[in-house]
Amino acid sequence: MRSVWAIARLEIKECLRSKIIYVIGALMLLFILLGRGCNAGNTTVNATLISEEVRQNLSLALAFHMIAFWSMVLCGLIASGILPKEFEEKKLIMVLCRPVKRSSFLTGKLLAVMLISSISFVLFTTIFYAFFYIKAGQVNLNIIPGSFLLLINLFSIAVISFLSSLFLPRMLAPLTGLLIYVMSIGFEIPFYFDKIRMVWTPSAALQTIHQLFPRLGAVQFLCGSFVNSMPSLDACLPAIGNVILYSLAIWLSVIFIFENRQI
Amino acid sequence: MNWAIEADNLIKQYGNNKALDQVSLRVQQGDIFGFLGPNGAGKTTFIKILLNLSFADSGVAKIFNADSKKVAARQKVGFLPEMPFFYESLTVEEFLNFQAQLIGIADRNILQEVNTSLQRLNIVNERKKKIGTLSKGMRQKVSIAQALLNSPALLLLDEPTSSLDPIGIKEVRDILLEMQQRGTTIFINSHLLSEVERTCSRVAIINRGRIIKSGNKDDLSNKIKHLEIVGEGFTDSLGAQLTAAFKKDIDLNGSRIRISLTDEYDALAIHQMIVQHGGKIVSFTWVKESLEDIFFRLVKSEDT
Repeated sequence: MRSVWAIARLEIKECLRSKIIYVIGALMLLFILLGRGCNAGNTTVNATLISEEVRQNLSLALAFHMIAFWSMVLCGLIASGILPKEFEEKKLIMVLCRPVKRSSFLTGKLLAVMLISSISFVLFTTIFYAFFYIKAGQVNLNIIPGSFLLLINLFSIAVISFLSSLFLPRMLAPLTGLLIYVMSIGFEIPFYFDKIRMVWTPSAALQTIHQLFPRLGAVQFLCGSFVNSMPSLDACLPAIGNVILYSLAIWLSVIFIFENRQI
Repeated sequence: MNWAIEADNLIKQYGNNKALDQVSLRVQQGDIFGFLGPNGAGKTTFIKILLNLSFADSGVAKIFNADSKKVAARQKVGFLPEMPFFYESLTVEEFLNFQAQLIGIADRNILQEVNTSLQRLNIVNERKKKIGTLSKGMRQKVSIAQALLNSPALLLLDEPTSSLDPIGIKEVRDILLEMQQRGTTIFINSHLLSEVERTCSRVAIINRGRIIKSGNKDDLSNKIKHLEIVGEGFTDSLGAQLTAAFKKDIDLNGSRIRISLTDEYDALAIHQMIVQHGGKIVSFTWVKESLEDIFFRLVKSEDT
């Protein structure tokens, strides 16, 4: 465990020296400023009165999804760069020549990715809420458990990026995780929103594919829905179970491939 | 017998190229063992298999009787790669601390271990410097310092003195001899033959993935003695006559003649022949076959 932690700490130091983190961070700051743009009070759109609470929740959910998206981007970029860099610069030789299991090496790297992306996500979400609170005078704290739930998605993106980085060129590897993430969101939209479901019933085959595809989008929508109300466990479990199972299977594959790769 | 390294029939193939071809080798505990071979002979592949960085197609490698594939086999091993691979942004001290943690040295002992290692290599003043700013020689010293952490029972050194100046080479040689006296087994991969000759008690020579000879340095000699004569008046016609008379290739180079003899009594006849030709002899010496001679002889005969 000490070696895992030592590897994670070293990786965090290395990542914090990478410029890309600060570029993504700067972009995330833009979303934080959304908090300043949320209006207090009621408004009318197309002759429909939209209450202050609805507007605030909409702002919260929108900002939450944007910050979550950029956290996924950050997570994918960091995770997909780590292993290729280690192989190219052969630095991992200095670690693996020591009494360190290859799985511990990977776990240390994953821990570092998770810590950086989770901390940045929590940090930016907190700053956003602070801005929101200053402007609106109140904030819906239901989003906090939703934010924690989103860590499952971060884990999933990290392991997908690890796996793709073992096979794909360095520039393409981060795109794989993000592509699956974006596809799963797109895939989830018709199944998630009541108004779409009322006018369109997906075929049985499509429903099966939907259930079998990594349901990162479903988890993200669930997390966002915490703003309005706490979703039921029955609604959460299938999607969460799907993502956890996928993530664990991918993680075990990463370990298996890495343990059998020659350096 | 207590073996630090045991390898049995190791085979490793990259495509059509056999990097290791049925390599069997034993290194006794406490030895300084030289592993010699030209570039691409399979020296580094052998070390990589010992460290489980690369996997043999067949055969077994053990370190202190533990299968080299197991993590425990690397518990007492210090490794110096041919090219040091560093996290450049770390300071020397941070890097050594990191390595100490990987080895599993207790937190309370890390500082002392790092200090000892820095002092051994005489790089205490560099401890706060970033590795990326260090010279090539200094980086090599840092790499050696990490290999020496926790006084390993087995040191695997891949070209340890490359990039070092003569003073650095002497320092490293002294450290290795000191380590050996403490019971450390040292395995040196090198093509710097003079360095290996000075430090190693036993050697193995590998070429094209096959060990062509191993044993004590003296055992590797073909027992042929070389007569080296320095003087004046060594003409080509003298050279031709010597060659014809003794059926040996002679090496005539200006004022120096070198000839390999199996019969020591031939030396007297050579002496007389030179004097009869009007040559003057300044020195007349028997030269033992050096490791370099052995190496070239064996590798050349293997290649032909």
